[in-house]
Amino acid sequence: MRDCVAVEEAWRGLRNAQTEAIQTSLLASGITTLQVAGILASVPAITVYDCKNTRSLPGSPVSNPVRSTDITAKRAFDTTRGVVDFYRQCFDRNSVDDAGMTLMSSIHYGVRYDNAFWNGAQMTYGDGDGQIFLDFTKADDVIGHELTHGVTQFTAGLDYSDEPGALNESVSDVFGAMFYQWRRKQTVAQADWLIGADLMGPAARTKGYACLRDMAQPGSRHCLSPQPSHYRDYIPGGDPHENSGIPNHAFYLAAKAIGGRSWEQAGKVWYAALTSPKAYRLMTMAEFAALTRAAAGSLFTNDINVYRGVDDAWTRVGIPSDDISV
Amino acid sequence: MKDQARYFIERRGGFAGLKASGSIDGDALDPDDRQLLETLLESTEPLAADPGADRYTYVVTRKNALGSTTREIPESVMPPTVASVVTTEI
Repeated sequence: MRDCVAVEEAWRGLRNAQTEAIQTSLLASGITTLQVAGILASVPAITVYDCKNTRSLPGSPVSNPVRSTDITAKRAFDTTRGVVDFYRQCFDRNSVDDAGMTLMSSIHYGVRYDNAFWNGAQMTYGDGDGQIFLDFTKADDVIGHELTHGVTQFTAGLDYSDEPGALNESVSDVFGAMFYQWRRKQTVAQADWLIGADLMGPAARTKGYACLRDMAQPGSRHCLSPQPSHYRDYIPGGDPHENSGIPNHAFYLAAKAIGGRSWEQAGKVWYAALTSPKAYRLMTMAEFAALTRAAAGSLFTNDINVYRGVDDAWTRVGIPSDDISV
Repeated sequence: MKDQARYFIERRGGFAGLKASGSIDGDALDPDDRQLLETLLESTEPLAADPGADRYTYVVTRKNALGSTTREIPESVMPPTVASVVTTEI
């Protein structure tokens, strides 16, 4: 039995290595279309590694995470698979690179580590300190957020400072929130629009903090990390997680104005902007807003309410349509 | 002189974007970790930011009789025992 497990692990490692090698070769050849790459990996492989409270990445492979007795391993696997399904079903995207890239997650990173991050190749999750933050795999929106950093890396490639940095963080919050709502089949009216609510530990709850961020009320006192919601309050040189409140609020306003389910119209507009050939590394908020306005007009030609909702949302956060055009 | 240094450490970034801070006397640090920290502080090469997103960045200031030196240090090269000095106040 032990030998079988060892062989299966070795085989799985070889298969993933081969997939990645083929992916690299295709990318090097400029062949990145879903149709071609989809032949190789129509559903991306999902792998989970256990750091065992060290900071050594990726850690030890978890051989069968879907049946693991470690709830963190199972959750990382299941939720990552959920994000894969979300992107495939809602946006026709095959993994973060749209070419079936294997999605690797490392869990139990560090000791009481209060963070989750994307390192350019994989996701990493800490257990939280148990007081301010709980296990970071508990929150669907966190896992959706981290994987979306991968999507951004392979599309607009947004920088990580100033306005592009704020957009980078906002896009992750927007798609993380949409994934959370999609999993629960929530309408925009039913959604709470909170980011990181499932992470809040007892010390944070006792002090009245319900979430990290709130896309509906970015400056609310129930946010552990309150943010500006209007461009006049943009913080020069601020952390990307601060200024992301402005485009976060724009998405919330647009989705609420359009109605229905966020991923069906507002989400498609945001995705079209993110993946537009005109999107680029140093994009400003006004340029991104212009791309969403253009996408709203072209994707929903028979429903002027989508364009109006998007246009009005950006205007209300201080980025009117006369700022820039595409 | 070196032993009288005190290090002030501020952590920025991360998924939460919450700041955390702390300070420690030089002689309270593990000698190897202190040596690594000193190498980072004295390095003339720019320290490249960690790739990806939601990474921590540490701003370390060393104060001693000779003055003050401040350096931004990416999470991946920060000695873990020095990083553990910071606490988050909410």
